[in-house]
Amino acid sequence: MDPKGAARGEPSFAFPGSVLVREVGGEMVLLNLDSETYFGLNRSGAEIVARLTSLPLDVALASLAADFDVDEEVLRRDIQDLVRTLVDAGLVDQSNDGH
Amino acid sequence: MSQRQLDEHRGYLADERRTAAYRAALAEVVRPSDVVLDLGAGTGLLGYLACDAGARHVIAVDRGDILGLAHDLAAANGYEDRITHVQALSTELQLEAPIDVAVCDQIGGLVYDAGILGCFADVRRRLLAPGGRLVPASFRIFLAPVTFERGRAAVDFWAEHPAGLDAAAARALAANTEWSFSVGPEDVDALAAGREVAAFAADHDGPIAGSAVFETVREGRFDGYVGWFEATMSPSVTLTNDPWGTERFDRWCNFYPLDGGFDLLAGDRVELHLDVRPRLGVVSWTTQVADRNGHLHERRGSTFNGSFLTPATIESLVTAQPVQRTQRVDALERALAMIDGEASASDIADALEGQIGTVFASRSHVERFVHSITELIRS
Repeated sequence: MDPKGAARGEPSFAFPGSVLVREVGGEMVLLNLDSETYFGLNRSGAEIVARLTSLPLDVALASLAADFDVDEEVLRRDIQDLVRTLVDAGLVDQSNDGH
Repeated sequence: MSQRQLDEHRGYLADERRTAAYRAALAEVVRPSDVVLDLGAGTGLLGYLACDAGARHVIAVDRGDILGLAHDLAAANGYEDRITHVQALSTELQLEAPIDVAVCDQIGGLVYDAGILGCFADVRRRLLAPGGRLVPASFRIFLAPVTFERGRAAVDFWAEHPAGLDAAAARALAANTEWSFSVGPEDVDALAAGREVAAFAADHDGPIAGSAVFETVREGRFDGYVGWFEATMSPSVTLTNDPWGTERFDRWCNFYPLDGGFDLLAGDRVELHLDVRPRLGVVSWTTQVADRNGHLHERRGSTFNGSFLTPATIESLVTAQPVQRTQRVDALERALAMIDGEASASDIADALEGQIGTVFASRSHVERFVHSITELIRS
């Protein structure tokens, strides 16, 4: 993940227009209208995605590492896995070249 | 029959425009040797009109007990010999020979909010002869940006602290709800003329999407969109619930709120994109308003955000999640193991009675559980 957008203070990831997002009790439900499929994220996943889509990547990582009390490298790896899953499912776009 | 059911069917039979449109369309479409399928027959009216149009035979299908009344009405009106009544879902219907015409009035306020598309798609695939005809045959749907006090009030009620409560959460649901209102020209003020947003065949089986651009003709508060349809019933007959149409029949229209409203001036540009997913039951409407200062404002409404969602319903929606094994699965397995063509529903309920207090709350809950199994496996 090497976000160019971070330098501009923009989030590196965004929900595409074809994805509807809703938070319920701290969890997140995503509906991909193209595949007509629902996806669920637990509280941790919902928190990670909420920050990735609202903060520059380095800011999101730092804040998550602080809040979840985990090593930043471990967190980075976990987030990479989550992001890959979400991108493959068409649920988020890499809006600012986040890899 | 409940009062609600009686009133519903009284409304259908009292609507002379609806009856006249179906009568004229069937007279145009039905040929003397035809077998006609009446889907969601209710009191059977459309079947009688098909008989009057010369149908050789009518198969009247309805899931509800109202079919008993349809049988009585057919007898009382001399149609008994030409109509077969079948109590079933049309999707469960098996026929020995294909039918020539299918007729249906499950059109709702804007077509996709009722069952006609899925039913007709199934009929086309399984039951209709090649070259068979559908009544209605196709639809056009229209929306118009409006000032609509009743619609706005239905949403804003929840922001007014009803019973002293902070009900903002309900307001968010209300703003993302597809509303039904009986409306005429006295109820709504159009900010621009209605535009066709989509057109599709009556057996269309997939998403419906379309866009429209409106230029406002007057100043006013933009509360949302009123939507209506025009059905092509037959080559020369149409039926519409257009609130401004002089020939509209007695059918509600749909209302899609614009969250928070928007004050428009004459000449403002409003762009709408409508996205309907009948399989999911999700309707989304995205609005872009370009104001006179060149600013673009976007609002999005979706019934996805207007539905009640709890962790339990989310679990049922997210198909990739593991299905949890519960005590009810054990009860289900026990019930299924008893189904041998000999055991009655009562026998099965007796066998499950020991689980009252753990799995089931009472004997009636056990019986409902067994009834749901027998419904599921009924051929």
